[in-house]
Amino acid sequence: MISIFGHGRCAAVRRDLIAWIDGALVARRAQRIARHLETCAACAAEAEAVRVSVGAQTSALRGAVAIESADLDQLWRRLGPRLVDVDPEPVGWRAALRPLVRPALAIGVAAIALLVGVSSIDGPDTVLITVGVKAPPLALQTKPELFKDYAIIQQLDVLERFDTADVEPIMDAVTPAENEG
Amino acid sequence: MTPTDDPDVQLMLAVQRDDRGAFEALFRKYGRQLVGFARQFVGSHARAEELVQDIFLKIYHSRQRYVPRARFATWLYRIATNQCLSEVRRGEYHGRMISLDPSEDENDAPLQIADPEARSSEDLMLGREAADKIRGVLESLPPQQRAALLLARAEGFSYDEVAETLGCSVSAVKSLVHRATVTLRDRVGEPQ
Repeated sequence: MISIFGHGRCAAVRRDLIAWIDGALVARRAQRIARHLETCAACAAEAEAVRVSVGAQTSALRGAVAIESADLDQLWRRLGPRLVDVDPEPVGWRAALRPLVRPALAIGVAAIALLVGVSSIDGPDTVLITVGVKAPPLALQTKPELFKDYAIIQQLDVLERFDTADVEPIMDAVTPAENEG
Repeated sequence: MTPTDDPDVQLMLAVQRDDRGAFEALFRKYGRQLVGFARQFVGSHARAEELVQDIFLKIYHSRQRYVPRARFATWLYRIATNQCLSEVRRGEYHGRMISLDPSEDENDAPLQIADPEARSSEDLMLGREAADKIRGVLESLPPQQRAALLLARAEGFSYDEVAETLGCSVSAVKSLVHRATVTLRDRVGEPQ
């Protein structure tokens, strides 16, 4: 049993070795790996091999990307005249509204959370009626815990497929008999 | 370090105020390394140069929309990577092997690889060989893996910065870099 747990831990450590060497793990995970390497010679050897390999790759990749032959003067001479014709992209109404989007989203999410919270106390009717479903099918009335988000999801679904008028409304497709079965 | 501490952010903010000198300074600082980066996606050195001009035109065009949220390089490479990935998506470079022989593409300037690690001529030769070999394997990597690996290793970006550049999660970056590193290790082989 101990060896199975040990192998599992080794496998998990080895999966994270590259990210660990790149310094990309959260501190707690990085510390755990460091502690494991102190006690597991096989993983410590693997870590060293990965470190050497990553170092060699980094060096080779830098060599592959680094070039000396790009003539920047010539490139700039070609680019300069093209800048004359480039007007700055206007800051449109979308960009102007951007600072307002986050608060609006937060208010929207809070409103939905409130609706869902209220519906969990009073049953599904409140949320269903609020989003425009005045006569929910029996399945929704009898099993509110299963369909808490049904109306919202359905609304999203309708929004996504607003251009497909021939799609049957999901509401009609769900019958109490189907759900009870 | 906040974004505004980055001198390149200050240059870009000056570009926003239509300072052409600041724009030229950014071009001269990043132009060459962007050509090297773009070349890993489009193969041809000449096409990489054209692509870098397009990237800087795009930056100049969208200068008013620039908001300093991170290092300038992160924003720059986000535009560059998107440009490179859409070139790859066009399919023009699919399966094209990179030619390192200038005579095979007379329009391309001869490629000289500057290996910062190399000291003697023998080191330089070994560095070139490693770079040649790794370029061939890079070509075979899926573009997203290639981009993540180049940003993390060659450009020295943190995983957070790679995620910001590629517009994905840090977990996705971890996975992309892991896979690319393992593939490179398997195909290029262990260092001597």
